[in-house]
Parts: sequence; structure tokens; C-alpha cells
Amino acid sequence: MLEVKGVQKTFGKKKVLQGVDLTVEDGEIKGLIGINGAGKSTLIECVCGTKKPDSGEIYIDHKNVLNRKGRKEVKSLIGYMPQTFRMFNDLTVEENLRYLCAVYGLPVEKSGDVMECCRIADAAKVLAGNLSGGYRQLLSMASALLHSPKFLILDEPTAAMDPIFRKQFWDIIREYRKENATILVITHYLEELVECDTFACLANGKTAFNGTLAEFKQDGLLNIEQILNKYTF
Amino acid sequence: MLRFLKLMGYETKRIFRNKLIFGMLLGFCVLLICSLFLVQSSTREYVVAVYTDGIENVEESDTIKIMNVRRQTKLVEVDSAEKGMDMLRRGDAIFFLRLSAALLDENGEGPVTATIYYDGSSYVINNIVDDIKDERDRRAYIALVDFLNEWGISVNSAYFRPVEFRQVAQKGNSEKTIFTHDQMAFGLEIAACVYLILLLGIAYSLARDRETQVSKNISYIPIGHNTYFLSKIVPFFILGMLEMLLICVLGAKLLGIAFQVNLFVVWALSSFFVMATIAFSLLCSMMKNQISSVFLGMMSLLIPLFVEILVVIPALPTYMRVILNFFPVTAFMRFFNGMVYNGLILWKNIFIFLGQTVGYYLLALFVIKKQS
Repeated sequence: MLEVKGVQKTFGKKKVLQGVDLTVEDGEIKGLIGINGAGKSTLIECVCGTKKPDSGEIYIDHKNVLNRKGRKEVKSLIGYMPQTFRMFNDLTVEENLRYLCAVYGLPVEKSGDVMECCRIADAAKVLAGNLSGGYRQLLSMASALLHSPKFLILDEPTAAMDPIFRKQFWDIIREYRKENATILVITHYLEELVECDTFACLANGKTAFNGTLAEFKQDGLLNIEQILNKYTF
Repeated sequence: MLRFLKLMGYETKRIFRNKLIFGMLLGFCVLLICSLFLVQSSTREYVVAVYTDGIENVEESDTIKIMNVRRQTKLVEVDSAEKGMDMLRRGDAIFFLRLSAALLDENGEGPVTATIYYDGSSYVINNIVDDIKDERDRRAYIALVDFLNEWGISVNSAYFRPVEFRQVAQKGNSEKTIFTHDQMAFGLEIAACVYLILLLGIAYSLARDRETQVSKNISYIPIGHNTYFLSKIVPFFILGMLEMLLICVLGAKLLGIAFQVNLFVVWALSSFFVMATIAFSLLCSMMKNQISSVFLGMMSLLIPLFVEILVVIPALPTYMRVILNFFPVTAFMRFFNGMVYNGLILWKNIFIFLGQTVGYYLLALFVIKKQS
């Protein structure tokens, strides 16, 4: 379970997070929406332990992310897929994954499995820098799934994907969910929110809404624009 | 350890797969060849006539005259038995006496080396210029330069170079040809080559990873900054040591440079310079982008090189020399030449390298932790 309690973060004079509360239950897929600059990525960086919040508490599997020991432990529990492609362009797909196998102390065969799982085995020998946008995202996904993390955090994972790759991508997520993984996904697409059990909306540095899509539809809010307009402005 | 070796293996693969870094490796070879050419082409010829009135035992002769025939000027005429001779005059006298002794060697063989070097605290010419103790005294340095200029030897930044007088004509109380085999700034060339490849390679490699946000990804996976940095820089260290080995072996075998310290000692001790360079490069790579990193790196190379070539570092005021000592190249030029030509190991410079290595590495770690 992921628990975020009253997290605040300030950059200079700008208060990015002003007491965010968020809970993601075990085995749940949670969506996170918000306009650009709402603090979604900052929240995720705090959750992953790469940014230290000014105040608040964050627990993953009851381990405190904000202390050094907890942060070290949760790194192997989390699989993070960033918004932008961050793999070595001058290594092949296979070498990139093998590099990470070495980091996690996994056998190299694991890279083959995850390539099959993410449907990029046919590009195994291609340099990551030469991959198309869709394949790059799948490689990022593969690197996040490599060590079979309990928590998967996806930051706008399908932003650069065409509908076919997007469908493939969500097939992989659904498949992975069967392993009782907890997934937090940032998205701007309504059709992806449908895949989530619950979602939260961040606005003005706070959790403006936390619930299911059905609750929105009851209020007559039928698209993301309407939801964001209601809570942000 | 196995994990570290695997990561290092992938980083090595990246170096050789990257066209720019690989191109710089090739560029290094071209630079090396050019610098070797400079060394070989710097032999200059002087014709002097040596007259003594005591050929059999020149060191005890009363009067020695040494003429520069080309210039038709009398360089010196001293009476070694003269009493009340001041220190500099006495120094001159002994210097020329020794030189004459070598020139008038019965066998006419064996070069005599008049080495002008810096022993860490003062300039020394065959240990005879006793009065120039303080290398910070510019007047003393200028006096030394004038003294050598009288000989027709260009001493622009030559305070550290060996000047080898080689007798070509046969024995006798007659005209001699002397070659001054000025080996240029060998250490300077090497410093430039090794520094360039290491610094540009590392600064480019790490800054590129930062620009493409690959290094940001490191924060999300269970790998420490130390492991990440070391796996990246150890291949460059190995590369740097291979280059040093190549330079030392080529220098000894191809150019016949007589290493005054064992070749492998020179090579091993040069590792301190390589480490300092790598640590400094690591710090350079913390800049915002590749251009800034490479620019900072180039400045740290060019400033000491230009100062060395144009002004001569020891002639600078103390505070300027302290600033220049922040760059690894500054200490290396003296360090390397000191070992190769004079058989001197400048331990002070090793401590400078160690200080630079630890300081720059910790500073780079501090910066990266602060940035992430």
C-alpha cells in the first residue's frame, strides 16, 4: 500500500505541493490527473524518494520513504517509468536491460523474459537511440518491469504513442496487474482513466478529488477538460 | 564487485561505440605524432670555438676562453684561480670549465648534459647557480635567462628543459660544433594529449548522460552515486594509463629519450595525474550541458599551457601560481619532465595531484547530490 499524508513541497517561493493526501491500495490501479504544473511529477519524485518534501509522510509497504533506510529499501520495490526516454542511446535494447539486470543483481535471462513480455524482442539488437517513439516507451516500460516491482509508477507513459502502441501498452499493464501489483499512473487521457480503479485529481498543490470515474459521470462531467476545469479554475 | 565490473563493461562498450569519443582517441594519436615530431625537429646547432691554455687538465687551467664563432663574440674568459670572484662569476666559471672539460675529452665522446631544472624550490644548473635559491625572485630568473642567452640558447620557458651539448668535432684545441638538443616541452605535450582525451571524453560522456536525463534515472534505481561514477570513470582511467604507457614506450624506444627514472616508475607515478584529471573532468561534467563542460575543460587546459608557453609559470606572482595549481596540467609539466630528464620525483606535485583528486571528486559528488 502507498500512503501519502500531508506532503508539502516548495521551490523557492512557489508552493508546488500544499498538503497532498493520497492512498493507493494493494493491487489497485490509481490514475493521477492534473494540469501541467499541478505537481504530479513532483509528487512522484517525492514518492520515489528522489526529492525530499518539506513536510508530510510517505509510506510504501509501511516503509517510510523519507528516511534513508526506507528510501534504500523501497527503490527495489518500485518500478518507475519516466515521462521522457532515459535509457542509454548508445546501447542496444538488450544491453540496456542487461545493464539494469547488473544493477538489480538479476540473471541476464530476465532481460529476455521482459522483452518478450513487453513485445520488443524483435528490436533486441537495435540501438536504443534508433528506436521509434513507441518502442522507446515500451523499452522504458520493460526497464520498469524488469525486477518485477510491487509498485509500478508510470508518468504519462503513453504520451508519445499511437493508438496501436497504446493498446499494446495497456495490455501489458493489465497482464502485469494480475501479479497483484499496485500501479500509479499519471495520464491526460479519459480512456486511460477507464482502466483505473480510482483516480485522484491534483489542483493548486492539493488533492482536489479522490474517487472513481463513475462518481464524475454522475455529476455530468464527461471528459478530462471538464474535470480539470471544475477543480483547477 | 561482479556487479561493478559488469557496469564498467557496459560503460567501456559505450565509449568505443560512441563516434565522437572514439574520434578523439584517434585525434590523440595524431596529436601524439605531432608532438613527437616537435621533439625530433627541435635540435639546434651552435658553433663555438673553445680555447684553453691547459688542455691536459682543463679543470685546473688558469684561463679559458670560449668563443661563439658564428657570432664572433667572446662568451667568457675566466681565470679560475682568480680570488674574490663573486658567486655568479664563480658559477659561470665552473659551468664553462665543466663544459670545456667535456668538449676537450680525450676520446671526444660522450655528451655532457647541462641540465637546467627546477628541483621543487629553486632553479639549478648542474647545481652550480647557488645564488638563485628563490624561484619567486624574478630578477634572479631574468639573470639566469640572460646568462643562458649569452650562450645563444633560447631559454624561453626552458628553465626546465635539458640542454644537451654534444661534441661532434674531434678533440683538439680548435673549433667545435655543439648541438643543443632541446627536447621542447615534452611533458607539456603529453599533458595536453592525455588531458584532452580524458577530459573531453569524460566531460562529454557524463554531460551527455545528464542532458539526455539518463543520469536522472539513476536516482530511481538501487545504484549509488559512487558506483555509478566509478563504473563510468574507471574505463577512462585504464584508457589514460594505456596512453601514458604508449607515450613512455614510444618516447624511450622511438625517440631515444633517456629516462632518468625507470620507465615504469614514470608510468606508474603518472597515474596520479590521470586520477586528478579524471576527478577534475568529473567536476566539469556537472555543468548544465556538454558545451559548458567541454568549454570549462578546455579552459583548464589552455590557461596553464599558454601561461607556460608565453610567460613561464614560475615567473608569475605567488597568487597566480596558486590559482594555476588548481589545474592538474600545471603540476604535471614539471612533474613529468622532472622525472624523465632530471631523475627527480617531485613528491610535492604528487600531493597536489592527490589533493586535486580527492577534492574534485568530493566536490563533484556534492554537486550531483545537490542537483538530484
